[in-house]
Amino acid sequence: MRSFFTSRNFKIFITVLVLLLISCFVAIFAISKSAAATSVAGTALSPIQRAAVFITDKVGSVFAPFKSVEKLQSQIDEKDKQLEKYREQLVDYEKMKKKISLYEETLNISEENPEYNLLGAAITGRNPSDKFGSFTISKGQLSGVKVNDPVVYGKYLVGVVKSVKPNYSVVLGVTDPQVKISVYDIVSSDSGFITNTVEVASEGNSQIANLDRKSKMAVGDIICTTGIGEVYPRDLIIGEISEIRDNEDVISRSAIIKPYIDISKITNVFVMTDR
Amino acid sequence: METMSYRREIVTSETNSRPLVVRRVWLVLIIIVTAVLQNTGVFPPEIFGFSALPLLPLAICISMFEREWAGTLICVLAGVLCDIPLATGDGFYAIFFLIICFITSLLITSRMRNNLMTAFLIGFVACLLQAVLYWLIFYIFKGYGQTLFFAYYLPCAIYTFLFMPIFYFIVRAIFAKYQTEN
Repeated sequence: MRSFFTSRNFKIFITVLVLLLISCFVAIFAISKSAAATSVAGTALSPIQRAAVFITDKVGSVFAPFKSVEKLQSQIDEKDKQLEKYREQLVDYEKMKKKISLYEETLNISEENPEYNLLGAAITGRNPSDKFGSFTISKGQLSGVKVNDPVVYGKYLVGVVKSVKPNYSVVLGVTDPQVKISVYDIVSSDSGFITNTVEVASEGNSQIANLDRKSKMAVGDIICTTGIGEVYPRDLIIGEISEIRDNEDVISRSAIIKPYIDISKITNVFVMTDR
Repeated sequence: METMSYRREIVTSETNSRPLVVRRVWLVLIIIVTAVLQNTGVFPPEIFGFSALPLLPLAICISMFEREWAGTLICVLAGVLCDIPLATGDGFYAIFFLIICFITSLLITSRMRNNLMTAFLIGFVACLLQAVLYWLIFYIFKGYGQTLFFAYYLPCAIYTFLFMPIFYFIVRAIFAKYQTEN
């Protein structure tokens, strides 16, 4: 037994364990919230991840026309190739329209918030261990991204940067229990804080907790950020109220918010960094 | 079931170094490819909303075949790559993989035979332990509630465990091809 503790293998094990623990403690207090080993590995792996996502998207788009052709041909007997070509062009046109609409919304956000820079970033990965959809983006410290920078998709708030590495960052979604946002109802002007519980977040929703019973928030109202605290700019849209629930204490209520943007379906976002 | 056991190689001669290096390069490449596929969500796909962590069974299989310190260090690489998409708690998987793989390596060296049944046993315990620890550290200790374990993390652990036999045969094949002499 004694020889085990004096063996080379055990010494190497203890050395590596101590180094990792020191790295973890440093990460807790570091501004970037990241450990050295993870930063180095992630920086090296980030370009490969971006390439993998790019290839996956391209392979997926190769098969899409075949699915379209198969679906169309089941619905229509006789179509000539000209009509098929026009339909493909229409799809390209619609995609371009959506992109332009997104850029217009982003430009509006940029003009309304001149103190921020809008930095485009691709979503390069998702955390398989996280139930609430945190994701990694392709911009990090070297591009000026900092912890707590808001992440938007057009005029919609989709998350906040939680940890930053040299060339990538990890973002928490608005439904994550760790995220707290000061918000208001644009119809009733009532304000509150988004404080998500695990149960609500598991449904893919956010929640404004502890609403006064006299609150005028109602189903269908749109919820935006207030800008209080200067973490999130004002008037970024989060979603709409889908349900008002009574809390167990009966005195207060909670408003359940359905985010407009499904994080799992978007591939690009913008990070609002300080000028 | 046919059981096969592999003896640990002890490299004593410089002529064994080439297959050793090639083998370890292959293992590192497989870890990197698996990490990229896992972290980008390309593979394995989500099933009913549950995701898997294939790097964990891969690391355990490597530590069953590779020598203690070498296998452990390769497995720490797998852990560091698992830490990349973590928002908080950098180093969790690195430390977890270090401890689990070191213990696995010791068990195979001194107490257990290296075969598929042992891989299943160790893999099951490791997947369950990973789920429990992640849930405890990132949810319970933060006061977020107890509902997620059976609803999400336990199914994810089971899904992760399904990759044990796949990686066991892959790693065993690599070791068979690049076996070094005693």
